[in-house]
Amino acid sequence: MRAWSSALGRRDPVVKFAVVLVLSLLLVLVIDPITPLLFLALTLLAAAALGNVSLASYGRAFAVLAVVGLGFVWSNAILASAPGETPPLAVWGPIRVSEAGLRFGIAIALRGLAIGAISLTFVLTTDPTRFAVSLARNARVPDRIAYPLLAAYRFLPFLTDEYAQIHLAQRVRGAADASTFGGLRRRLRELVPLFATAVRRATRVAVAMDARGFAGASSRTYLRETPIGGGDVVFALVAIAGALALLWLSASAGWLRLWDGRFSA
Amino acid sequence: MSFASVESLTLRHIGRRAPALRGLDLEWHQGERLLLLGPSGSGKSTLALCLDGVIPHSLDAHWEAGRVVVNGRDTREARISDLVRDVGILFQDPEAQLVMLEVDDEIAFGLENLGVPRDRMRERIAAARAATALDSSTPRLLADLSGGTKQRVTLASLLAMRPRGLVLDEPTATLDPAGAREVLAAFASLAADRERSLLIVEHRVDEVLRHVDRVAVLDGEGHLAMEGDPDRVFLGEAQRLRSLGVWEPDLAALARATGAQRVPRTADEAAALVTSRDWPAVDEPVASARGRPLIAARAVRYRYERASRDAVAGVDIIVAEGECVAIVGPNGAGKSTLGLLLAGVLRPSAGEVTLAARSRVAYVFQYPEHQFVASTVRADLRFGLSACGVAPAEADRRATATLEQFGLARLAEANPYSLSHGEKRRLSVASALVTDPQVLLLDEPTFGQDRRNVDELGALVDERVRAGGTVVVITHDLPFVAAHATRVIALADGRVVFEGAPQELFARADVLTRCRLVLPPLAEAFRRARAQRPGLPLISSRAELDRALRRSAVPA
Repeated sequence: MRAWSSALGRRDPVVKFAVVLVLSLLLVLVIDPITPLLFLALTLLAAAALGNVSLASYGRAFAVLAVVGLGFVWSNAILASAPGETPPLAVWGPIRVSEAGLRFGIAIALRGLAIGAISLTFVLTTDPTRFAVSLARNARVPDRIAYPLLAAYRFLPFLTDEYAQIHLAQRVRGAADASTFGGLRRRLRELVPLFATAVRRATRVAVAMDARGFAGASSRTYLRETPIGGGDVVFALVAIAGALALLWLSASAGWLRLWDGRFSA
Repeated sequence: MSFASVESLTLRHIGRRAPALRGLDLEWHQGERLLLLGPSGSGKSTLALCLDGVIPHSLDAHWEAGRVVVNGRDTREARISDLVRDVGILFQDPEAQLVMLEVDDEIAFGLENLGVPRDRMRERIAAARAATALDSSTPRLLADLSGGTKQRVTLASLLAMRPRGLVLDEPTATLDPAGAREVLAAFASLAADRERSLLIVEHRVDEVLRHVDRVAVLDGEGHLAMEGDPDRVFLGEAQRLRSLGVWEPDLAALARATGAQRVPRTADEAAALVTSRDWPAVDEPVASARGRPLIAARAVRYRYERASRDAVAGVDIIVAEGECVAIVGPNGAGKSTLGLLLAGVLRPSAGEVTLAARSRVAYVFQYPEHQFVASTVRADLRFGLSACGVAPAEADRRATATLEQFGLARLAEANPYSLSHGEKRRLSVASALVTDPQVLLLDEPTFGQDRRNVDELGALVDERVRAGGTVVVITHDLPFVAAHATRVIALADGRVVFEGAPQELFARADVLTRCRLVLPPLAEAFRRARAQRPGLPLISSRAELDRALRRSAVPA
């Protein structure tokens, strides 16, 4: 919540969301390993200085992204090599690790990390209520979509708790199914009550919303002000200018490589 | 003058064969405070949804006959946006009706839908907060609030819309006793200012009785069974209420026992009735010799993954053969965790739990559906048997016998999810007992159940204990504890803060407060009376009251 009132937190969520999209799209085109590192560093710097976010919050997410990233590195290293182009770095039986493939894999992994960091900064510095209201008012997303998004946000922790409960409850029934598909069958069985409670609860929330006039609201007003101000425009311009500056810096140092449509480097 | 009238309403839910309401006629007068009772499945909630137009405008149903007129408008012809201005509805579970993440946004949600201008919204939010005692010390985020406070926020959000009538559909059913008291206090202040017509569905009858003008009772088929003055209904129709499975005030039994013409509305009034007659001496609870220990927990601790503190923080207890142990305590005190440790479902992080040789614990969860594993009732019963290695022929025989015993035989081939509330609970208990465990562990078994289901369950517990079986009940329900438990263990912050007989617990105001418990009405009445006349017995449950009355009926 501290992050919500920071300089980044006060920016309009829809504007911020648009900036995240633009930066991510720019990064998708980058296939060298250094440029994503520059983006990553700048993002973390901005998050700490302007977002009041503790960098520890990134730890868990990075751990997950790192595992996925290592998968990319490995698969590219052994698969993205065109035989005969350059001598492989290593050969283990049929597996040939090419230098180009390895570099491409590392680049993709770091790119994932950078996009992850940018998205997470958005999540950590954005008050979900303001996001929903701004979606409805500034992005003209229908209330029928924006508000259920909030309800869904409340829903996730509930589903996690519920699943943990169901898992225990089913274990108590004492089915240690040791057959090959036993584990899978157990998981599927646990999904039935989860699905049943989720549907029931979603219906109840929808009914409760309608009972408070959500259905048939013709001229809705809003408690929260969500004007897009000068600060938001400046923020968007500075963020995009910063990104372009990084790209220019990387290009003039000779690091930058952009994707040319081939799945190899 | 009529505020709302239901005229020969017959209504059937989609996909159901039997109507939820049949030819129902009910008047709800302007400014009246009406208490609606009925067994579960009697159509109380359906009626509530009809009164504010959710049925048929937002939820579809087969409207077979009749009409509902609210504030002069036929609900089927009016628009829902107009109907919700007339009647607000508070549902059972706060979690299933909150939309936003912060208190003020939540209160504003209805106002926004009505198109109230922003500057007026602030005033109305402030007024609604004041009416429900939500002051500046209330945390801003809904996630930080207790269930009772969340329910007050939902109430505030309805009040802000300034409806002329308010329907409260079991507003305390999912709350602990202290949370229920919080919400009922808010209801009491609404009832006192008489600005709105109020209709409340509530089974804590003793606590709402003093705030209502009239009682209406639905039967199991969706008819109006009776209605009228509370004293006439509760004192004159007790037999009928019991056979319908409807909750009545405990204090009505006291009124009948003392020949009073009025059900006491306050604890003092009840205490005066107690002192108005003589009572036979009741055996003071003796710590009965306990049987062979079945479960022993020694210095047990448990911490969930990523939690910052122990859910169970050093507990030593013994559960013996032939006793019914109640585990009480506030939400989050570690009751269920302790239950799971005793049942061997969780392994302690430190300390140990030992189970007597050849003993098994069956754990029945709070929500029966969580434990359903098969697609028919019979298969669900057989599942546990085959997991225990019972041979198929024997499993068939035992499943059939258990189906008969629990009155589920006619539902043997039904899908467990299609059962009624009470039947689901019965199936979950039956599935636990079919394997004949030494210990039956019940987690909040009376939560949201009607009187018939609770009585049934109580009888089952008594019967098992009499036969030398062992039952552990995790509960907030002190009347149930008073009637059935032989011993109580109170937990707070993962530690045992009290252990003893139910009567001893009721004498410990400090423990009750710490565990967010509320003394049952009869216990409170007899305690107050005894403060005036020391020789009086301490009676705390309907069962004890009935026993005492039987004894005094027989001349010594």
